[in-house]
Amino acid sequence: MTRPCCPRVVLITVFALFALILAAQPSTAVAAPVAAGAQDFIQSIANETVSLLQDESLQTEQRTERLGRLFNRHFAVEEIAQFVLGRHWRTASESERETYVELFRDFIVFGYAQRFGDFAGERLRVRGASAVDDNTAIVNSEIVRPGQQSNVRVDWRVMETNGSFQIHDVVVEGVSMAQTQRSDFAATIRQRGSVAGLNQALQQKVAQLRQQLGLTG
Amino acid sequence: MVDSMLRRVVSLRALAILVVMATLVTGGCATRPDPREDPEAYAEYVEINDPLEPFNRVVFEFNQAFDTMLLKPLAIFYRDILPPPLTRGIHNTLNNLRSPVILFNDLLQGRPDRAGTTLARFMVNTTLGVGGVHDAATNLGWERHEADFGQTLAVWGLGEGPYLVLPFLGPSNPRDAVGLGVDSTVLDPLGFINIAVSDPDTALKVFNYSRTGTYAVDRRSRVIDALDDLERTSLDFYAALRSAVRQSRRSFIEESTRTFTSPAPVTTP
Repeated sequence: MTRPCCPRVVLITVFALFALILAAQPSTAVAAPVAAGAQDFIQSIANETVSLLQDESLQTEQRTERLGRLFNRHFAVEEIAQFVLGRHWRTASESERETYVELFRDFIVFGYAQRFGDFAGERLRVRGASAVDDNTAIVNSEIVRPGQQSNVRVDWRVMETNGSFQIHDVVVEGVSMAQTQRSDFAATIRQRGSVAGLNQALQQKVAQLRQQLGLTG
Repeated sequence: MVDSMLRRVVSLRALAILVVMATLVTGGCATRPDPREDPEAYAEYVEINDPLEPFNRVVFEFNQAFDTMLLKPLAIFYRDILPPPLTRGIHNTLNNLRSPVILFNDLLQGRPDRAGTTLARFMVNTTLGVGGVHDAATNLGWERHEADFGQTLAVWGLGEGPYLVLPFLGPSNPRDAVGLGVDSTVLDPLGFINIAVSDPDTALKVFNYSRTGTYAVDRRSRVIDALDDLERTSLDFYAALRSAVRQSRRSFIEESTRTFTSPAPVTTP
């Protein structure tokens, strides 16, 4: 056993620690134009989505369709799909690629539709944005859930081309959706042997997601 | 004291033998592609960093079964049936009990600012928060953060090593597995007393076991939706989880090396 140390030393240490906490000030940075634009872009999508989800006159089918349109307009689906396929994009045939991109589109839309199905008054609070380069920005936001103490941190990777913005990745609590899917798909291709095998797995998954949503045909 | 530590070492060795045997039975390591023949496949192999995949998948299936049969039902009961004020109190108390571990790791990471927050939180919540049931410190502006020894090792520059799925404990890696061991037996005062005393008090043992069990259920209850969602929207849940856990862990480690800054505010003209 060690001898208990002098209480004054403890007291001084504690004071020093407190002083350090108080000294910490948030830093401010000058935002680039792309960051401001990207932030407004995400805010407007959030508003659009919430009003869509709050519209109780819509059936699941209509809502899914409208969400799909929203998604196709604002997400860079083809670029994301290509990134997710990684090195296999080059070896895939033209028809495999086409099938894949269409399946990927459905896969994401139906996946999201289900997530939004449990909508319970969540709100997206856009907190700020920072530019990565001249036409790429990361928008920081958080999902505020009513009755919950902790918020979910969501970062959006947004790119500007010819004056219009598109989402290239969604990062939830540090986990990139595109990166996770890339790993997932690589493992599936390894098991099934080819991109055609991946497309088969995707098709089954999409059918399953549709069924869970109660959509037919 | 030496005796009880020895027994622990022996049981650790038994676990190691079991791991090696299971690996041999399940076909050993994942096949490594030739870097000259297929450099891209090799790069992917290095990035996935899961040479024990066949073994890990077996443990993963075991954990999934354990989760389906016991842990998840308990977590759902905890989240949906028990009254929220009760579970909030339990959650806060468990968090408060972790304070010494967080404090030591903050200090070991060279973060007196974070250590100060942890210390302030512990003092305020233990007194004003009635033994930690109420998280009064957050309302006073001392927000909670996590820290563990795996993270500390990372801050010290140690790499994570290959992916490792631990029985019951889930996705991990050698560095974080060691971290977990150090946190629960050295940095946690109650855990330390439990192994350092040759004949620990039965009450203490019971307390430690219940605390571990409750901690597992509380933690699981917070990721029910996230894990369900990942499983639903992935083709190979094992691979998707491996990637997600790694990314989340990396982001957690980065967070501890960052200074406190809020995202840059955007000024709209």
